[in-house]
Amino acid sequence: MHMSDALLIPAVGGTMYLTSAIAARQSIKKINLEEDYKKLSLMGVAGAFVFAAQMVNFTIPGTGASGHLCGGVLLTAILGPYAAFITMIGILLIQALMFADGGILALGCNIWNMAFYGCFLGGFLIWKPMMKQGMTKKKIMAASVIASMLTLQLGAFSVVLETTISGITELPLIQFTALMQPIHLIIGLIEGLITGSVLVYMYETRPEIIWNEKTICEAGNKKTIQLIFTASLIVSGLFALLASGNPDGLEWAIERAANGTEIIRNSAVHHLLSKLQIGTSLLPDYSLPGSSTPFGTFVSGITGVLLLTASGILASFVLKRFRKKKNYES
Amino acid sequence: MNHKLSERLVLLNYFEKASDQETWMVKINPLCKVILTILFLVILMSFPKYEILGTAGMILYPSVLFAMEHTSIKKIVKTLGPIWLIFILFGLVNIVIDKEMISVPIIGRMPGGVASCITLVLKGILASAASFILVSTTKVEDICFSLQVMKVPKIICIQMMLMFRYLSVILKEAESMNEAYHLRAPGQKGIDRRAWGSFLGKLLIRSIDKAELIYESMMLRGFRGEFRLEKNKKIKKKELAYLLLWTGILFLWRCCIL
Repeated sequence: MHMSDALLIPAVGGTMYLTSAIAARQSIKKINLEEDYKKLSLMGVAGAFVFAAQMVNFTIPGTGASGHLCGGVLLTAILGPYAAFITMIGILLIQALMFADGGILALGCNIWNMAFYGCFLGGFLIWKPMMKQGMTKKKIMAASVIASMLTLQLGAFSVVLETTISGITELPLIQFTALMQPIHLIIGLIEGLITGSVLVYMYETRPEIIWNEKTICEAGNKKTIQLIFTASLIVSGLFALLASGNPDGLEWAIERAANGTEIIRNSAVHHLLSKLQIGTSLLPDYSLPGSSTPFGTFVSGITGVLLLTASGILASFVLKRFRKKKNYES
Repeated sequence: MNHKLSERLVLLNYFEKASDQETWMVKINPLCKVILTILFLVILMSFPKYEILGTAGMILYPSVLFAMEHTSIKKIVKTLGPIWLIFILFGLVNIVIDKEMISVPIIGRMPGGVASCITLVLKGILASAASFILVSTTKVEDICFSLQVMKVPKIICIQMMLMFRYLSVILKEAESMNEAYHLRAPGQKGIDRRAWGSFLGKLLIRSIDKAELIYESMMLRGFRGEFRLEKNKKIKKKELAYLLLWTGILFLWRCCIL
């Protein structure tokens, strides 16, 4: 899944460098706090292991294609998300600068697609909640498979988005996605099974090496949320500027299905709903009302992330209150 | 599996040997080479998708360096060929979808898909060639040094160095485990799929133990989480001239095609 330079324009490459750099900065801060010099050795050898594993491609049965391990989930299960992310950056840097595998300009994209999702989403959203109540072989296998499949799907979709935004391929988004996602689902499954088998073996023989329950409970959520939030702001704000003015995949397909004519509904309900939509839209068509400047697009991207975050905080607050009330009643 | 791994090791060996030679390109300050490669890539990728002429003009940089380094074309094609296939595939898709006629300077009118296909394949070949030059003329330590100068965090540079050195530890362990496996199961082709998990798990644990021993020895010899990279690698006047000359040529070409 290593992207090459030729699949990107500098603006997309630069934006992804920025987002990956923010994630790296937070991770380094976190590792420095730990002040565990011995961890450097473990990071080095685990990184070398994943690096060697990535050299070996496995055949996808029945497709004629091949894939290789990403390793983000495996590293996270051993080192924890922050150290794993830094180790993945090291791996991708070596591949780009010493093997010419994956572009130098595309490094930011590759870090995001292959390391960010695997380490942070795989680690904090799947591995950590599943292992919080204690590890078992079944849980390890399930977490590895789910995390590998999910994070690889997100990585593959990011490749599609980055290439499409760069305007490199004429392939419509939907068709490109339809080509990329299923093959990466199989690769994710195989990666998950291999990762799970390795971790189960390690759990049986040397459980202390695996990111343990103590560390999982200590790893805070606050920084991670900040990290994901900042990255989302940048991606939504800057990518919104780079987004194509052409119709999206779905609109494209509908337009062709309708032979280029816009589908218009004249019923009273449609009129009412469309009036209501115009009245309630703060930023219609991702721009400031009455203007279509890039600044408006930028503002609408940022506003979207802020609104989503606010609704998330509100939902969690309500849920907390609800739980407290229920506990009190019982 | 072993064949692919050994192929990669041969490549690694080739890059290490190439960067050990005493050619003029190897001697140039690594920082100049890294900056120039990044600059070349940014300018190359900034050409629009139908800009065949501008993209083709960028061939000057890698071809001059390859000629001066006497790099074998066969080696380049063998190493980078598989990567080029991806660009060809993307390009072919463009040919099928984009049939709108456009006019290309000097060449004349042609379907947009053909123009974008040529540009994409050219960009892919030239970008990977530029990376190949950097890799084959710069040592690992030198790349880490230039990354540190460019303010890449120390921990990432240390990781790169450690990983690169631990790679041989892992491969040695893998070799001995593989030999033991085949002595136990003579005539068996490869390693049975059911044993992949335990084989890789055992390999990782053995490598971790070995790496810990090496790391403790390093600590005893005064390692405190920092490599002492050569600090006095200042850019000489000649190297600065080399950097400025190429920067000028590349910018001039980009401005001509605006």
